[in-house]
Amino acid sequence: MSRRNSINFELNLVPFIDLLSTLICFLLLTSVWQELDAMSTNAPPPAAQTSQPPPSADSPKVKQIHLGVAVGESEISVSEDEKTADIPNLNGRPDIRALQTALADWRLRFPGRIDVTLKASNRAPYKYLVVVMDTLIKENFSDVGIDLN
Amino acid sequence: MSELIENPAPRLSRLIKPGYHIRPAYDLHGLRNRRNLGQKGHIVGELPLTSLIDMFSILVIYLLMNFSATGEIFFLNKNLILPKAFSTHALTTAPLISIEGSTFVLDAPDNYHASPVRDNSTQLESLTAALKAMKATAESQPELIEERPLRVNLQADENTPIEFVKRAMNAAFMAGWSGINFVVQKEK
Repeated sequence: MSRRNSINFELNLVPFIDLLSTLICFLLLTSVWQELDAMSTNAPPPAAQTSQPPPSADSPKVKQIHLGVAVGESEISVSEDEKTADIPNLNGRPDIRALQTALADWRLRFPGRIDVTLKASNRAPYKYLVVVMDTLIKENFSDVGIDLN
Repeated sequence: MSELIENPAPRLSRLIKPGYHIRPAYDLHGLRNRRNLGQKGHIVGELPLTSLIDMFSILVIYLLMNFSATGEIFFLNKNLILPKAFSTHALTTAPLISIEGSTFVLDAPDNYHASPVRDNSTQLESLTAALKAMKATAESQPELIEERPLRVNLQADENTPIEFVKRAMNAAFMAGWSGINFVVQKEK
């Protein structure tokens, strides 16, 4: 067999290795080891905006029910005005399933509402605040205001 | 003639060809044999490039999975464990308040030209003053802020008491910032 008919050839791997090395260096420099995201809350409105204008004589009297969730060290409280229900922690953590059930009930009874006030006990850990806020946003109560008192 | 017969000339085959005179500590026997004996002395093996390329390819795939076009917004202390959340949005560049124990540290991106502020007082006066100055800078240069309303990033360990978080939020709102971004880890 003559050499002219030979189809065996060697691939030139050197540029391939060069390219891979450059890519590895670039990716090592630009890689992000912890993916950070954010959850937002807005500042409480100024006192002048919160005070409701006096209702006129001919306007219908619709009372806006205040929806609130309070995060404590050992329980979460769900409140509609003065009516409050406590959800005790489960295995030392907020019982998110029970909170979701309460929020689903709110969603049925107050379909257009997205605003909830979130209160938190000073001694409760920050992760409880985040996990409750996360649940509220997931259940479409996206306008979460945090009570700083 | 009789002398020649008695003492014949030494045979050529007994002559020794001079070899290497300078012998390094590590003589390249293989190379020398290859040069002298042609392919018979070929003992230098080829590098196995296939396994090298396999390793490189796996590395590239792994690093590509960790690649983020936005990059790391800021440095994160390795001792800080951020809380995890599902319903999040992308973090934007803004001044950052970090709560480290009972100390509040305010840091800002380079274009604010502000040095970091550490504050562990009760009223957080210096933190509030620095936040006010940063807000003034941000309002004078709108390109500094990626989002409206003006928000500050806040990061804290997941076990930090909420009291500290509230104090930092109070300071930001008193300085005129209109929102807070809680820095969290995206739960997958």
